Amino acid sequence: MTRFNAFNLLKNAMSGHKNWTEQWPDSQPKSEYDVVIVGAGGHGLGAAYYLAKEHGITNIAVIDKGWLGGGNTGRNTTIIRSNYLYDESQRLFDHSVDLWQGLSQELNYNVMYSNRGCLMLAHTVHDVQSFKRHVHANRLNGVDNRWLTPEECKEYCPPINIAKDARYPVMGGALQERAGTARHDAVAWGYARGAAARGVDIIQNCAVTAIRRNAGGSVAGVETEKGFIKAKKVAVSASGHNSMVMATAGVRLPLESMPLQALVSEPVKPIFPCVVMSNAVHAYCSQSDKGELVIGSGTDQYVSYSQRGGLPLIEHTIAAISEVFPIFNRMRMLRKWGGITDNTPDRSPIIGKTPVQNLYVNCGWGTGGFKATPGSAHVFAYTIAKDEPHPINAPFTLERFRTGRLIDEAAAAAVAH
Amino acid sequence: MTSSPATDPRSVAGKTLELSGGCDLLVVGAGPAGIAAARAAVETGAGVTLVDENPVPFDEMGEHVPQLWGGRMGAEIRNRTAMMERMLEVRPDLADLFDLGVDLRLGTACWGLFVNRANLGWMPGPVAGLRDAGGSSLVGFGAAVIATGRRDMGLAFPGWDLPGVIGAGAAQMLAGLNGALETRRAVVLGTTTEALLAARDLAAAGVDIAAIVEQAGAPQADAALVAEVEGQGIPVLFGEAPRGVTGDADGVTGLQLKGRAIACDSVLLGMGAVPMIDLLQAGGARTVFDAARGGFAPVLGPGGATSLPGVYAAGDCAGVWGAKSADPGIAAAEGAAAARAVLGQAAAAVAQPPEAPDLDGYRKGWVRAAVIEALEEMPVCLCEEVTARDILDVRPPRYLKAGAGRNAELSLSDILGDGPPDPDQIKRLTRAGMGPCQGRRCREQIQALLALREDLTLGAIPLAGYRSPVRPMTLAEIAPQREDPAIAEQWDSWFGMPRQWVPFWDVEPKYTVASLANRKDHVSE
Repeated sequence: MTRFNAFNLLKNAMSGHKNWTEQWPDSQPKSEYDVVIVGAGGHGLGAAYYLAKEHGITNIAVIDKGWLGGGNTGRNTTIIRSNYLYDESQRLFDHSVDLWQGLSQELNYNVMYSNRGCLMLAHTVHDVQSFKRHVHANRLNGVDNRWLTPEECKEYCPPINIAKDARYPVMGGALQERAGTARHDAVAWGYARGAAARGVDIIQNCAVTAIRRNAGGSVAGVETEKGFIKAKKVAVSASGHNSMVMATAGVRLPLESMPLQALVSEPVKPIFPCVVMSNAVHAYCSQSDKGELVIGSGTDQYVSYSQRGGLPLIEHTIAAISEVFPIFNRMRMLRKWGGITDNTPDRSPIIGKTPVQNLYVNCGWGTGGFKATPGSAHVFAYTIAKDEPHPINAPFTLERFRTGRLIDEAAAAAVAH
Repeated sequence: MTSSPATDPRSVAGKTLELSGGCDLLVVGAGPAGIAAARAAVETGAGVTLVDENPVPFDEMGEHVPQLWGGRMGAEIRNRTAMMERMLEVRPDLADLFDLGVDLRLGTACWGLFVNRANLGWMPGPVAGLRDAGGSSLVGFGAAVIATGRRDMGLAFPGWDLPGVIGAGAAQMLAGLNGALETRRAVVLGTTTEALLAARDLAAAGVDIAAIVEQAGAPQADAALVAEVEGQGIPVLFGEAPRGVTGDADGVTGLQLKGRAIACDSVLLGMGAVPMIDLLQAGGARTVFDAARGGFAPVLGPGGATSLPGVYAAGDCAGVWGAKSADPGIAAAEGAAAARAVLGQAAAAVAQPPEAPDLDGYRKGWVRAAVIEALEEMPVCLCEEVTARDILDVRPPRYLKAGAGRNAELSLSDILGDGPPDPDQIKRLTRAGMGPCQGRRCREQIQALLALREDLTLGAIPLAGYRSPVRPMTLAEIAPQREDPAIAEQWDSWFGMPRQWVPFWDVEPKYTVASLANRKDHVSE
């Protein structure tokens, strides 16, 4: 391909822009791959990257119906943390935080991971009790988390309103200092570059219409808008559309897809030092490196595939944010958007094998998939390569909804799910 | 035993957002089309609300909302009351609407349209988000006529961020609607009908139009109109393009062209007038690139019906073309036709755009002549400081400081895949179009740059999506703070350990968890 510079821009401009070489190669899929990954978000691209790098499998296609990183990877509020209640979740998310620490070096691409700390505010007695339980559970597992009094919360994050008569009074907070944020698009592009450099084909704007199975029941390949692609193994990580894709292989997933909304304000100088979450109202807030306030909301209370989301919830969130951070009242909101989350009954993900041989799924991340991107991709790649789960994702089976061995972060999170 | 209520009074069940009033017909935009629509509807006895965001608050004009005002607003623009009076003065038919009983709201922007669809089933009906000096409110409506008008295409050249670089249409609005244009001597870029009409009207209003500059060899508008402005003594220069400006603290003092320099205090951008479809598109209306209608425009049915049920488009936001810009009667006829369609009357015929001019070649020609052939690099996206080279090279935003080291060797464009480049994707990768002006100044240029690079037509480049709120709003404005008292006082009654297994009808009316915070027996240490 051609490198652009002012000279050849000028030269081509003079010649009527007829002499450009192809910059966007029309990558036609090959007829057969060792692994086809459905969904080019962070989890799918990351899995391709780790498959190529750690397991020597490079004959891989990552197929997406849109463009890479255009789904939830580019639509979330970029919060990274691991202060979950149950041992299984803590292992999974802390594995991810471990990988986040060195991800920029690993990918030779600045993903802007910033461990600025995540403060979860407690507004009720129940929050206080629940968060303290989290703090104890985390510390027993060596996961960093500590309890702050309202005054300590104010000291850690001065914009917080800790007045006793506030609409949502702050009764304390749980602080994980290793938590933080990263730049979401850079994560997708970092993994995509790393995978592409190792020979992985990334095929965009090509919807997978069905997963086809052999007579014996195992996976044969995928039907796409560009024709059938044979595959030894198929791995699905298509976030909000997982249940639809998997249904074509005859696998029913216990998922509900709901819109989750976020918004950004105009950029201002650095004022907000950390991530603050308020689970009771399900609002969360941080300041991006560009200076915008990034504010997240809860899932809409109905099932939908719209990437816009309803109005009432965002107003509820903003009302809460304005109350907890009165200083932000006069900041301007520039745009809001939605992404489609896939939620399991226990709000923990499913990563692993399926009843169909050589078909793997990585789904059910609900509102919290971004933080897990490196860890999830890493163990998912292991599962695909070895056809058996990594010890970290072994508990996150699809089977658990049959056996009842749930990892019930839904009840534990005290989130207004 | 008393009977228990069906739902917990503290829950949000059944408590949809409070609507502050409603109307049969909501008209957005008080130009010729909006006025005609409001008039036609109110004369049949319908309840009509007409909103127009002008006069725009002064601080937002500084951020180019919604036009490229270019910092040439006079001090009188700060006086909103005077500006409202002026609007009624220059548009007497607007004042007539008062007498006819239209609920006329000036200085009120419509920031979002929410029409019942799959994920908006909670609403009692279609809802519009309005914002005025007093804050935001939601208004229900039966049908809506959107007549938001048009916007000027931006064009980058060195120094285009200086005060004095204005949209030609914006200058016309400042001079006509507000009577507050602080321009004495201007150069107009572009020979579209809209540019020439702006030059003609501004010259008649006493602005010294030093020249009209055209990069192509022939004018885009009719020869008759060109002859008319030349008859006013305005020279039209062909085959010229801006190379830079000279300026001081007050902004532009002169324009440097390829072959000459012209002293002026303003440069009016007139190379493209674009339908303002932000509200419609963010609301979910389907759009299509139509060169005959000036760019991306809503897909329209009879009477200007958009793909959103009950929502109609009229005037410039339904399509901009030369004859329509020259004759406000066409827009007014569209407005009246939309009102007829709303009222269920037989559709009236409206003027259709003539065969499309070469919009594609013309706009790309300007971007090539000014942006690509520029002798120095300057931002195309001013808010985020993204240059043409950053966009064409798909470079990560500068604040990532990815230019240094080995990252510089690896271009993101290597791994961009199939199909035409999508401005929404380019936006994520480079941040072009993500700033406080909400992309109004750069989106047509980015479209043209990507089309030039790929050797595609403008129409092959997808539209970068608009998102509500389509006008920047403070959080305080959008947060309603109007809760049911039962929720506000006892919102946490479900969270309390002592009460979580108690049926809601047995929870004491005065119970709140927060009120128990000081009672140590409820807090486990």
